[in-house]
Amino acid sequence: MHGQSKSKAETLSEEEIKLRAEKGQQILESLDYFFKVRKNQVNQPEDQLAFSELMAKLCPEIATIYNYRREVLQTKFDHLGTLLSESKSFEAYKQLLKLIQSEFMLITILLKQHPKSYTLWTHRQWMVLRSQEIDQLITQINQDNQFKLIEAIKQEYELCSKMLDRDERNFHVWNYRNWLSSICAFGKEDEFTKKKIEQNFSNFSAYHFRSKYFMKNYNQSENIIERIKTEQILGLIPLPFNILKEETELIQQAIYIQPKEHGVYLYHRWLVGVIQPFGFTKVEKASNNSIILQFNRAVNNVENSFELFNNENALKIIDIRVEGINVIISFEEQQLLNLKIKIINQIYQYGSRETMMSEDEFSRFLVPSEINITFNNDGFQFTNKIQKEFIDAINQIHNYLDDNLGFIKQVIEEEKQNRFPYIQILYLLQFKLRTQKLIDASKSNEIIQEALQHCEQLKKIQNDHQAQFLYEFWSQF
Amino acid sequence: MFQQQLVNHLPYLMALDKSKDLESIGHYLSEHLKVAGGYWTINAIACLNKIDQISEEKKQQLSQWLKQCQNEDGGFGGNTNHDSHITNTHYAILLSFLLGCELNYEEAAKYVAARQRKDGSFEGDKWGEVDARFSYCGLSSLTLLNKRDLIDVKKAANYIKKCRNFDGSFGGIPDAESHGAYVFCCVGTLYLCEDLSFNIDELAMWIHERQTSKGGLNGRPEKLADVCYSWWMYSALCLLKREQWINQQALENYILECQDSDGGIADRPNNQSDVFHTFFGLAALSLLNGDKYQLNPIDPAFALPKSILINIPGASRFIQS
Repeated sequence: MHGQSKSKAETLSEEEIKLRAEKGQQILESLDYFFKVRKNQVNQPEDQLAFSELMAKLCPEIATIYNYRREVLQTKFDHLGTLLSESKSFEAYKQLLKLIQSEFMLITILLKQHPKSYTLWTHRQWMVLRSQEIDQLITQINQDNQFKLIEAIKQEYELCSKMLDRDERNFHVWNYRNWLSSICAFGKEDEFTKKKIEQNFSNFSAYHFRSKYFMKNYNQSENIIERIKTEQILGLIPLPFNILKEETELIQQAIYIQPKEHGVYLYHRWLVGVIQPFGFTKVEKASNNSIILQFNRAVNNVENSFELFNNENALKIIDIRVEGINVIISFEEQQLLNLKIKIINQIYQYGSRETMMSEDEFSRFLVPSEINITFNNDGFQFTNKIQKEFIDAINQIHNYLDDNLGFIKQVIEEEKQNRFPYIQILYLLQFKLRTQKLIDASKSNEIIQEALQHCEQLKKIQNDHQAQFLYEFWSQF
Repeated sequence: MFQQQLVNHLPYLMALDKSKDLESIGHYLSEHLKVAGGYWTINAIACLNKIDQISEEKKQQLSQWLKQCQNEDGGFGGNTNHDSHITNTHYAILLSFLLGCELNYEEAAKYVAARQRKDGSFEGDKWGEVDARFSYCGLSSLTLLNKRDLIDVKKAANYIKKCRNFDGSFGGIPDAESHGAYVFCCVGTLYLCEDLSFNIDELAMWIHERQTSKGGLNGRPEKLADVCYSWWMYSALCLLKREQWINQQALENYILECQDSDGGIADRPNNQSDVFHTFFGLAALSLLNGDKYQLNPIDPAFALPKSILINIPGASRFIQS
């Protein structure tokens, strides 16, 4: 269906057409017979496995053939399993192993011709699950289990490596390999994905799975709270900063080598943006029954992030409403003397072990601080006190962003007509604007002006929807 | 010139069932794709506004055959005697609406609903493969049959959201790489679940980046453009109301370039056409510029002509105006 060139279309001789018609007729007749067998309209062939193997090789894409084959296999597994449990028959044990091995071999042969067949990969997965069951059965009977599932799984990883060498973007293989880690975590994902990237910096599949590796691995770490405190990282993934910087250097190399590619910029953008603080910037409004706090970016799920005190007396919060970058907190009307607001980092404060968060929970990583609002005849004044370790963290992130901006500017110098680094810088400047607002909001305008200049450049290179979209974003300030 | 070429596709489509295509062994190996093939063919003819060219007798014949594809478990196989699968059940339902015939929808709905798992995902059949394609088949089938109450719609949406990746796009299962065809399945499912609460701009930007210099869309970074992605992703952009995020004229031109002078549309220029790409090329054109080519608009959520959908009660609140 895909990739059939017209110019290469064969003009067949009459002889060839006749042969093809005959072969086609054979296939149809075989299928006809197969379905009769399946519906028990004729006797089952003596060797059902051999028969279904023939059919699978003839028509590898027909799922029903594998359904039939699985039914036959399951019957044999059940029968041999029973023999094994009841009589500890060595013969039964040998036959089980042989069945398993030859099935995997058959699927491997078929996969060579059809590496992207959902049907084949599903069948292979089914075989791994059956192997797992059989392995458990054998171990129950005889501790000295020679089958050893783990060896079989190692072979599966080998198969994946070989197939990815042939086609590094085959998502069936990547998905299967990823699934194997749920059976037996043997994969060494860090090494493997890094190797694939170093083999070819264009391998987006490798970057993708590397991103998954980071998300899962660091999120499941036991000492996430310690990490936040000691490494002073605020954000979604408490990736140790030194690891993040190493990874960023790797992708910078990739961009340097393949600057005209989309995928490398995506991965770079994700890495650089993965730790971004959410923090208070100013008191927008204060009255005797409500306050509006403004943040450096849009927040949500922050209902449990605030504590209010009027002259050291705890205030009951009636309502918290979020509108983009503003949070509106309502409380009982009263005379306000000195209003103190504590912003709590829910993860830090409550030692939450819930580390796999969805996007709309990110702002539970608010920068913790203490806001003091004093009222006078002219209105109000406020101060904001942030713990030193968090100020240091914000500065570290800001510097890291500056380093990456510097890098992209170098790419722009080399690639003046390439729209990708311009698009990239416009995203990175968004990140920088957010941390700038936390450090010194008065310098925000410089960033905006710089961005607008890049927008103009981008429009000259390619004035498409992306250029418009980014221009509209930066024009809003 | 292009207008003439579009009309060429009708004879190509009408001849598909007659030809045993003796020159291609592929024909015999696609026995299991007959129901799907029927859907692509008839839908393409409907898109060309020529469904009346199919004789009543032919429609009867096809309807009879289609009914025979339903199994005892209520599901449909890809052809008579083939085991049931959610994809073929979905194709059969769609095809039945095109042909104007009735199937045992009650049993079909039960089969589809039984495919939903506790985590909200859908399996393809009793053998357990899970994939966003099956979620889409599930939501679409049950919405069309007005049987949404048989499944947990909220859980279905939650599962799909787990398929979202760092680049803002969607893969086929959680952890899978973002892919243009799965964008259709995931966005379609979320749309039908009435839950589009994800970062739409990020996804639209990813789709924007799929447009190649020749105007066609590819499925992933660094891959070749293919006409079928015109449908998979442009329909998603329509559902998300972000049609202008790609260069529509360039995409239109690319699809026209993919036409085969012998009839039909191929995956890319100068390749051989097939019914699959013919349908998706025409369907995408119907959304891009239906009026110009006198095409019957194909609805981006259900992939059926709007003219047929308006008569399906279950679909009415989802039809894109």
